[in-house]
Amino acid sequence: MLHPSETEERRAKNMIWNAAGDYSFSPDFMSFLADGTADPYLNCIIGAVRRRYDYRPLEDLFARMEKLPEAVFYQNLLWFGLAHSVYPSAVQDRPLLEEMRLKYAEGIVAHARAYWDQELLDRLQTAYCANLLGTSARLRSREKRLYQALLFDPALDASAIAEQMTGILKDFFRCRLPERGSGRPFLRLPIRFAMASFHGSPSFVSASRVQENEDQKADPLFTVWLPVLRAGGRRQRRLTWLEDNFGMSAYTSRGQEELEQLLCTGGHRSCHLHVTYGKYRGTSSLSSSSYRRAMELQKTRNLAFHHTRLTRHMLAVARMTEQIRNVLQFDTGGQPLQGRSGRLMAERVWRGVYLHDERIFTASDPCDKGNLSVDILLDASASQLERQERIAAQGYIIAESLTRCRLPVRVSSYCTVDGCTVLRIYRDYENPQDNEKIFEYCSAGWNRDGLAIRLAGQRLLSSEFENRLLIVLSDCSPNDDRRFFSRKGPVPFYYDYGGKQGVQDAAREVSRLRRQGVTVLAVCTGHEKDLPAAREIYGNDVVWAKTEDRFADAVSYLIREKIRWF
Amino acid sequence: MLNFLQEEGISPDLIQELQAFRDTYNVNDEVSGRVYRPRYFYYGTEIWEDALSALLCGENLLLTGPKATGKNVFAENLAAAFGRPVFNISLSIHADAASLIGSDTFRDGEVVFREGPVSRSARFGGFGVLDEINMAKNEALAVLHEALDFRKSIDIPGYDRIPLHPAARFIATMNYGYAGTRELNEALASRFVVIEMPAISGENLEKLLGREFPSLSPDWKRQFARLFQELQEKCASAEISAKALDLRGLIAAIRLMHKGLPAWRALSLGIVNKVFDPYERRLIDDLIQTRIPKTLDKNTIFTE
Repeated sequence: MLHPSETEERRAKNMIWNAAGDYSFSPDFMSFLADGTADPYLNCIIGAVRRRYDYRPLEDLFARMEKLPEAVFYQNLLWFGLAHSVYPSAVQDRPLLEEMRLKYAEGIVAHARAYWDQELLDRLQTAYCANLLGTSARLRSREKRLYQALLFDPALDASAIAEQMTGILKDFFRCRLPERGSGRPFLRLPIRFAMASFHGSPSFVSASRVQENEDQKADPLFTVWLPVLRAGGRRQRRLTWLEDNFGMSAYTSRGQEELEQLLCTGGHRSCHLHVTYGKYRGTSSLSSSSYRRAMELQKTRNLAFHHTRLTRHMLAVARMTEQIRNVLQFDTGGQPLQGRSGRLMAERVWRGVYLHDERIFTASDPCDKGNLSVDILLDASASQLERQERIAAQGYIIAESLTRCRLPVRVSSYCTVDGCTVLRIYRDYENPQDNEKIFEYCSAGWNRDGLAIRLAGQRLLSSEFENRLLIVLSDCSPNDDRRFFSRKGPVPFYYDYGGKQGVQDAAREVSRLRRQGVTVLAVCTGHEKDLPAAREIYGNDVVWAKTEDRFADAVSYLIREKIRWF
Repeated sequence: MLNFLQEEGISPDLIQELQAFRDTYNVNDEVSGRVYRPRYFYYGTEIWEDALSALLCGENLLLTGPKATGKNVFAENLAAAFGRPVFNISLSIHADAASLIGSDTFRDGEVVFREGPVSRSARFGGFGVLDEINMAKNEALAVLHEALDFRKSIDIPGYDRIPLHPAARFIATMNYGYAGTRELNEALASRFVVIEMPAISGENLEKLLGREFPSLSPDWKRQFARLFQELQEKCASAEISAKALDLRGLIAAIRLMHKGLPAWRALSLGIVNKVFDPYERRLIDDLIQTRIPKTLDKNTIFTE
């Protein structure tokens, strides 16, 4: 089961994106109810602010407030004012907001504490909500002036609001905003203490802690404004790192959780998975990601290598295409079927006349080779560092040849970083124009072959094709720093994932995949000494080509032999 | 149909030419049952004008676009506008030349040729709608090359050459992103003029709902249209799958509301329940809960 805060965080983001009508940004604020669920009303308001205003001046203001000791309090004051100013335009598009706002106000008023027990923000919020419900709540004269100042005129633009807020901070709190680039002028307390000290209430905790907080149970409608980055635990940090370096996950957080539950079992139970198409968020920059920078550099090298050997590579593509196409077109395989329509079989005409048997025609076999998919899996671990350009070119040659034969092809690579096996998909079945993306291939980290084959197999088996072919390009030397868990003996034991254990694990996965009807071939990209391990994993379905000229012939021979059997 | 085109603001010259086309070519009684009156109208003046111009010039059309952009509705609308019989040809990976042009069969003790939908289209001057053309293998579609280019005929091996009726046209539809689809080869693609179908706009969706449900109040018409647009945006950003992006489902839901079912339950039946992933359903519920009140019922939605 997914941790509730993660699902709810995704829900909250969706509510914000939906209200903003824009899915290209990563929200910096979200709102949750005390039970940890996303708050529909306030998240709609956050999204509406994005839609209504030019967010840059506000973003700048929030960032500068972040440097103040009472950052969360001031940010909440600004949101209080924004919720008021954006409402008229938001309700025009979404009339139901009126009902949602009243419900929200009722909740706040019903659960409001006595005036003297409230913090300043609670007092302002209670007064505002009471006003919406046609009643009033106590405010001192200074609080009233602040309240009035915070109710920004809906006609103001974002810059004017930012200016007004700066004035409020100066007039009411004697607070001068630091410039955005300057450092923090005070010692930052840990977040839990910082929040408690400024608001005096233990109810201000991060969303993940809200459920644990007993006080909150008596105050179920209390809303917490939460900067998004603080919501993340270790899992979130890992995901952010992976997304910055390898690209966004192809799965929703729930889908990801289910995938790991399904595949990270047995010896791989402490591992994680990340499947990506290599698309980065707009907020992710090249400078912050070392792998991404390396990948860009390697892509240039891969392409340069390909272009200097272009003639040789394209000849290999042409030769392989021709050989595979011959098998697809002329090797019919089984016997023709008899049908009631189709091409007339002269030798059976008499049956129609004398026996009234109308099956005197040949019909096409619906399960022909047309329903075949090919997956190419490239080993992208650090052991391939010296031959990255060659592997990228080999992957391209195979993919391009199969594409020219109009076979649906998917090309991915795998590596393992910090216990997480990353599957990077370069081109999918329905994107034949994306073969050049294979040159983005870049190697890094370890290779947990068994888990990678299991993951590739799972994705392959969930496709709708009847005949499936998996081609693995690897040096067949599995190796990972995360150990392999085994329960074979009376005492559980952790082995190093490498050497014999790694090879046996990969062999088990290949064998399992074959039993499920997938044809698995391998191209050994390593040295001749790696061949025995390759044979142990893939049996006889391995090719190892010493030269590039032999490569095309060797691979196409193996593919042809396999296709013949479909 | 021509009145609808006039209301949509289609160029009067095009409508005049369309009328002349209809007057020139009669429909054979044998296939008159295939001239349909469309259940739904396609809204989009620019797309209509592009398509009418192309078809009046004798071109064949390829309509491309994602789910719920109205490709098939538009194809049927076009056939109705030209007053021609429709021959629907649903293509799959198993489609072969015989399933398109026909094949031999045995009838009353002799081998006879049984026409396929493409041959019938050619003979009767129909509009052949090649649905999901990129699902089929290019080899199977090669038989269409002759019919689609300047030769305007179909040569059936062992039989006569069928010249294409001058009113015959082919309209292909395809969704590039579906699993199992293929790249259309250049030879085939060059025989079509291609129209990229845009996602239905809010304004056109309101028109469609207004025509389908004349008593639907303008406010709720707008809210349902916005709800559908938000589903489109969510699909486009890959937050949810395209299962819930179902215009037919929305229309069915509003029909259920008209029958008296509360709005939320009707939307569950028409849209939400089409998604089986609980997380995705929650996201769709979130969308609905910020637009449609739980208490909304027939009396508020419809003005009758």
